[in-house]
Amino acid sequence: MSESQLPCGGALDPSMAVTETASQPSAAIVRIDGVKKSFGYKVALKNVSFAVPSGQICGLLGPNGAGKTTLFRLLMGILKATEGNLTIDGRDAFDDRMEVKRLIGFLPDEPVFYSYLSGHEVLELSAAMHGLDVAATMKRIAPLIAKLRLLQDINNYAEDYSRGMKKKLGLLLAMLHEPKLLVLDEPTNGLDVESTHLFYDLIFETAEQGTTVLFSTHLMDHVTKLCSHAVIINEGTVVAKGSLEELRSTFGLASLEEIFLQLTARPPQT
Amino acid sequence: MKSEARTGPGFWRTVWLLLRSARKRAAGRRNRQQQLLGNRSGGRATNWSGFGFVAAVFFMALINGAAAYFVSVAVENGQRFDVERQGKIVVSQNFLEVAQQALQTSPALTNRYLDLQVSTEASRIAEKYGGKPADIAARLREAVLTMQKTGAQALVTREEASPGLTALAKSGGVATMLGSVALLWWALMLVFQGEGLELDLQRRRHPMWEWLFSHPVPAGGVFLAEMLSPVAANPMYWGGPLFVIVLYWFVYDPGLALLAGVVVGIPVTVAAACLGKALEIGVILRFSPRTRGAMIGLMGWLGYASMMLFLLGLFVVDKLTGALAKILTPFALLPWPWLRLFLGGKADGTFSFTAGVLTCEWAAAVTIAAAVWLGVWGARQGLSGTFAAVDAGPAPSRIGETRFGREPLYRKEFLWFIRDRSAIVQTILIPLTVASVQVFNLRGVLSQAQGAWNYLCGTAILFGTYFLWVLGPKSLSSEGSALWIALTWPRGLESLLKAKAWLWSLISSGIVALVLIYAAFQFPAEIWKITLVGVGWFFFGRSMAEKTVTLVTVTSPSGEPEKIPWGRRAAAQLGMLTFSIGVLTQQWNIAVVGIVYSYVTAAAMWEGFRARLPYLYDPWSEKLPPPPTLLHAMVAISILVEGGAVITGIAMAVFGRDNLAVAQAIGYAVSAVAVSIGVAHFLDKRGVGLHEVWEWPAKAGTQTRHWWRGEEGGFAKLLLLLCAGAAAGLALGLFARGYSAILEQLPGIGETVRQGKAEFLKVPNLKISYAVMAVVFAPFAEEYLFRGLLFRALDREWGGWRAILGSAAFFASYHPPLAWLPVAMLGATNAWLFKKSGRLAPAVILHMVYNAVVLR
Repeated sequence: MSESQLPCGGALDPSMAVTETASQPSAAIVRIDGVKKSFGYKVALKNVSFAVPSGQICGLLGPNGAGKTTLFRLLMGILKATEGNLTIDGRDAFDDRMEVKRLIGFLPDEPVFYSYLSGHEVLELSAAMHGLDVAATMKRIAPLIAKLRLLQDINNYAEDYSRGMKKKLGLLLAMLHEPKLLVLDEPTNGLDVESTHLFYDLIFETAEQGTTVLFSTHLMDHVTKLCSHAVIINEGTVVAKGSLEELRSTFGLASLEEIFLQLTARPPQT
Repeated sequence: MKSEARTGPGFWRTVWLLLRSARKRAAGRRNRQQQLLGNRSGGRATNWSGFGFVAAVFFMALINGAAAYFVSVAVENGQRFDVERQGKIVVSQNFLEVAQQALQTSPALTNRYLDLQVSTEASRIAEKYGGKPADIAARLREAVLTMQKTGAQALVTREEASPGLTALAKSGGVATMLGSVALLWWALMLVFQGEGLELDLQRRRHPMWEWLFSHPVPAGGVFLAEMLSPVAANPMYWGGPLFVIVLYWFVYDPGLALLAGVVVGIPVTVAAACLGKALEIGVILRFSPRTRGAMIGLMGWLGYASMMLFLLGLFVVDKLTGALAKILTPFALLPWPWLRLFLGGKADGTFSFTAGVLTCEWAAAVTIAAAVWLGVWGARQGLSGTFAAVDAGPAPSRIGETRFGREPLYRKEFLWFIRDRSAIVQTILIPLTVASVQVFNLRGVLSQAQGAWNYLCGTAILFGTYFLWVLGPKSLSSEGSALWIALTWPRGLESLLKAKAWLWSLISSGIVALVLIYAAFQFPAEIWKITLVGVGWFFFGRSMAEKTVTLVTVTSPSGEPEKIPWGRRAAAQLGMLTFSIGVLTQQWNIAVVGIVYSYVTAAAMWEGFRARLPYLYDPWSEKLPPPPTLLHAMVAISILVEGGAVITGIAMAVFGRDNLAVAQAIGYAVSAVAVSIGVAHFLDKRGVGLHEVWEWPAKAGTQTRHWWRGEEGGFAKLLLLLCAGAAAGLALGLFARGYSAILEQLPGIGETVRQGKAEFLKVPNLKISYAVMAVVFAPFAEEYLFRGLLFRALDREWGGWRAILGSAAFFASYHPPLAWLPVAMLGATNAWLFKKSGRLAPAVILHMVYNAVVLR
């Protein structure tokens, strides 16, 4: 498809969104069902339903303000859905949030750390709070710290880190307790090229070991390379979901970016 | 490509724009709070925050007025001191006349009379200004003799010696010095007020400033707007002009004084605010994040301590100024023109209004300009400040794998405490100050108590409570935006916060224990009493820590911490003073009441907190806990008691003091009826019907093992229950009488009991009034409130025996200590009866019969 064919008026019908194929539902680790979330008068999520199959890397795509961060916070039990429910491995995200936190590793989009602890101390604290053996855990992630090039600064105050370093520390925190599901909110936003590759290598490796990864991003070509599934959200509703092949075959477009632009196109504001 | 050059807004336009946006921000914040409040309560709650602000402005205005009065008294006492330095003694008019009369008549006749007068005058002077009466008496006698011999005027009246502020120009060195010191002290207090003790100092660079300075605006304008913001926010600044009005009132006409309030008061107050803010900005720009907290904490403490000193100084202003005068006498040689210049006093003794106004306005303008310049100069060094090189580098030596028990949280708190320097500063300085303030406030009460060991214990406890009061919110706000990490742990925030509370209470108990151990060494005879105090503190400290923990707030992404509602902060302090006073005055009953009150308040706060906690980040989903809550019950009970007292007072005023008993009965009766109806209506509006309080159905689905719980049986069953209640009431009543009889036999207490009974019989109509009150009104109201509301809520919160005993203890605390045992038993029995039978009626009957038996 050439670029001249990109319309401005949404030629693709979002109701053509793919439904899950028969082979997947039983293996879904995350189920989101008719979720609606409003903050007073403002409705952030209108009606979101999708499932993330276990062991896969799933990308959550959407323009700014679509509701991706809200969705992640709902998964973490930080917010409570106005309607609908979210289940992770069969457990409700809000009511069973204590249990759920053992299963999820979360990286927010702008991690902030305690101003009086070093990176090492933050990791130790988190390991202890997860009930892990601190010494063994620190030994296990030492190669990860080296891989992410944090070794030199790991003993400095965490709040002095640059943005990229904070993201790396956040990723380590998320992976500390070997969770079943990694939820990453724009993990490579602001990272340099090398760090971005490091991140994706790490994500790929963890997925190969069976962890499910759900992350949001704006970089389409990375999604194409890394993810097996994608969910596209626009203005609080799901406009497309499923594996990448299904999306391509349904919309008849080769590039995910083109699919995305067509589905999320909005008329210009006057 | 734009062709014309665009210039940014000028200085004053920048200031105007920023102030306008600040106002909009504040309005927006208020609006959002209102929306959330409405959302939580379904639109039925009232917002009391405006009331709080008005009260704060009123209080601050009082302080400023008091400060002005302080200045005037300081000058007068200084003048007195100057006169006395010349060898004369300042006495009352009366004494002077007596002394002059003594000159006329022969010494022998008047000696005894004169001696009496001398000693009276001496003790008066000693009480007011300090010093030993014997020494003063000797000096007075000498002065009288000198007068007799040489005729020199050795005695001066107060009016002559201390003409006050109007004679400032002609006053001696000490007077002008004291006046200026007092004035500067007021200025200091105003400068260091700031925006309060909370400020998120975690950010190295202020994102807002960065954004502002990315515009072509003059830095001076930005900082001036920044400096003017505390003026709007802090009620202390609103009261500042009152200081000027009162001070000028001493010297000029009222009309001019009021004008001065506007023309001088406003610029001076604004200048003080600007200076304070400039110092803060300087600290933020130049110090590392970990030190700036400490510096700003110190500054805030200075403002607070100086304010407290003013308040307290008022009570001992004469003694205080006398002491200051003695200490500072050497400095009196230096010139101290400040007060005189402030008031517009000229060297020849007259006062010129215009001179005063012009001087002050000029000084204010210079200060504001200097403040703005200070900010601009600091910003020119770069918004990151020059500390970047200083504080980077590895964190201080790793605290190895030190394990602080099973709780990994303790290590984190410990690291915070020793690395965040503001924590140390604030948690030591502020409690010290506040505790000293309280000890001072209670000095009258303390002088009644015997022994000094309770002084020591009481001070330790006061320090401990205020330590918790500061440490709690500080520790909570130290989480800041990093609270999200805690949300990723498989451990509820509730358990984390409870662990924090436990840690704080341990720390504070440790500190208090040290002092108590020292006290035990000093006063070995009282060791068992000191131990009791320690035990009492342990429990009280725990309840206090639990209350403080509910004050946690979330920091917004822009770095602004959410303000803790003042009602919650006030509630966290309930019981504090009661407990401390109880210990200080060795009145155990008061201390125990303080502990009970504190625990029940903690339960009430946790009830609300548990409803709020899951929605800390999601205030739109938050709902108030279902009524009737513990808080409702406690407020209703307080209204019952206070309302009864008020109405009693009114009734007494109407019917005369002789009808005290009747007045009390009326007061209680009216209050009971009013509160009961009011509460029922209040609950009804929120969907809780009357029968829902009077009845306690068994949980749906549970097997009703007990035959009396089921629905069948109807009236006969009810009658049986009522008879059971009456029988129990009879039994308890007889027990109470027996208990009272035993008490009468005990040595010390017996006397009190007998006296009480005698008083009881002396008052006319007392028995009838009490009978009516106790048998007709009290049972219904008290059962409704204490069992129907309070015990129900407490059972939800604590459950089991703890709830029964807790509600009984709370009930007992509203009765005199000698009656505690039977009353507590009554309370416990009624609570148990209510829960078991599912109805309040038997408890009411029990109460009625009990009261009838006891009062017969």
